[in-house]
Amino acid sequence: MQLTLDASIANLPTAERAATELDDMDTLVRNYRPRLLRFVAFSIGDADLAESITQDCFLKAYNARDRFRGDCSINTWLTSIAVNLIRDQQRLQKFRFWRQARATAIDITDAANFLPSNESSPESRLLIKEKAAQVQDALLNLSPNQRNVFLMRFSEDLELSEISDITGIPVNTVKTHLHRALKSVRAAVRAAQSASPEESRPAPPAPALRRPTTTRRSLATGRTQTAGVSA
Amino acid sequence: MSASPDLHPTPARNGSAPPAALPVEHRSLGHLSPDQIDDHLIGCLSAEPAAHLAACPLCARRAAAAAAPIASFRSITTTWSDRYSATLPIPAVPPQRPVWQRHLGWATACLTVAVGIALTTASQGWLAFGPSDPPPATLQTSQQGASQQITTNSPHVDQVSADNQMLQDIDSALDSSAETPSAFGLETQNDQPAAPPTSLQD
Repeated sequence: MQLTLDASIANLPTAERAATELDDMDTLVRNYRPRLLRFVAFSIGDADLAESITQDCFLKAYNARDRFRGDCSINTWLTSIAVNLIRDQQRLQKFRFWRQARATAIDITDAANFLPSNESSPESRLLIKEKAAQVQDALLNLSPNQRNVFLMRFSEDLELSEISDITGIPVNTVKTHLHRALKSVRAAVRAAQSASPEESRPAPPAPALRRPTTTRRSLATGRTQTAGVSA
Repeated sequence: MSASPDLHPTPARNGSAPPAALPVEHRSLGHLSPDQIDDHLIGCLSAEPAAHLAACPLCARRAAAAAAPIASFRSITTTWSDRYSATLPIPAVPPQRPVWQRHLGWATACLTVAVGIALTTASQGWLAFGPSDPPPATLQTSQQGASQQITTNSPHVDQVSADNQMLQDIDSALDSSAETPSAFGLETQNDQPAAPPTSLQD
């Protein structure tokens, strides 16, 4: 009883702060959209769809803000809404064959051009880009559950208990998913490095704002797409 | 360092081979297994291997090498999402009335329903018990053989005269009938009156 009372008192400011934050859509979006968009985008592998799902997620959260009890962080709550929306989308996508052709894959290498220049030289930036692309490719081979859990842990920095709450999976199962995902990612990275050792050497950086015709793979469809897009 | 059960010298424990990147001379020194490196990345490494990791530069290098691709992925995806998110518009909040207005709306609706129910109940009660005037009289006349309802709005005088007229008709009908024994069911076989005696002997 005492513990419950103390816990409720301790949670009170957090809940009040969260309620205030949830009431202001601008603040909510400014604070949480980048990380939510990142999670959704690399979970489904489609930037346009991720944008739509993220918007839906914020609208759902805003409309249901009265039901937020404050027993978890807003980030966790938003992520759980996003997971449900992704699940719905994946269920729906099974019946939408034409959707695959419209998938707008994420070109991760573009982002590498915008990495802070003070943190790395062009060579190390290229190395970072390659490693990130290898991880992105490795995510293709993961099951949706493994991918979601991997992204929540290593991209969103969520605790195992939070992941368990969001996905409804026991903590031990979350650990199992993470172990398998890590094994797959590490094997893919190792295979990529051994397959093209010359690529690991520093190469001249890509043009900053224009990218050549690239071959990309969609996480959602696993299909290879060729696109020539000028930024 | 003594080989702890959590450390690597017992690779058969989890069925995994010794790490290939580890030199042979280090494989029996209690370094972390790949699973323990994964545990470290996941954040659930137990205390003893964690202490070893903190003290062993080789295992620290291996852990850093394992974490590097994930860290790269994270930094690039963060940059991507920050940039992409900055180009998106803030979702328009659907117009929503404030809470007090919603409560006011509910209260108005409830009040309207309550008043409607009360009015309906009152009107039904008015029809059942309300008016002090007597209800319209209803008579069923059996004279014509069929049930016939006669509803009149000024019942008393006409009704009484009609009743009286009916009673008089009945009386006259009764008076005009012959008072014969047959009328009373006393009819005999010989309807002829008895003849007077012809002789005194009879």
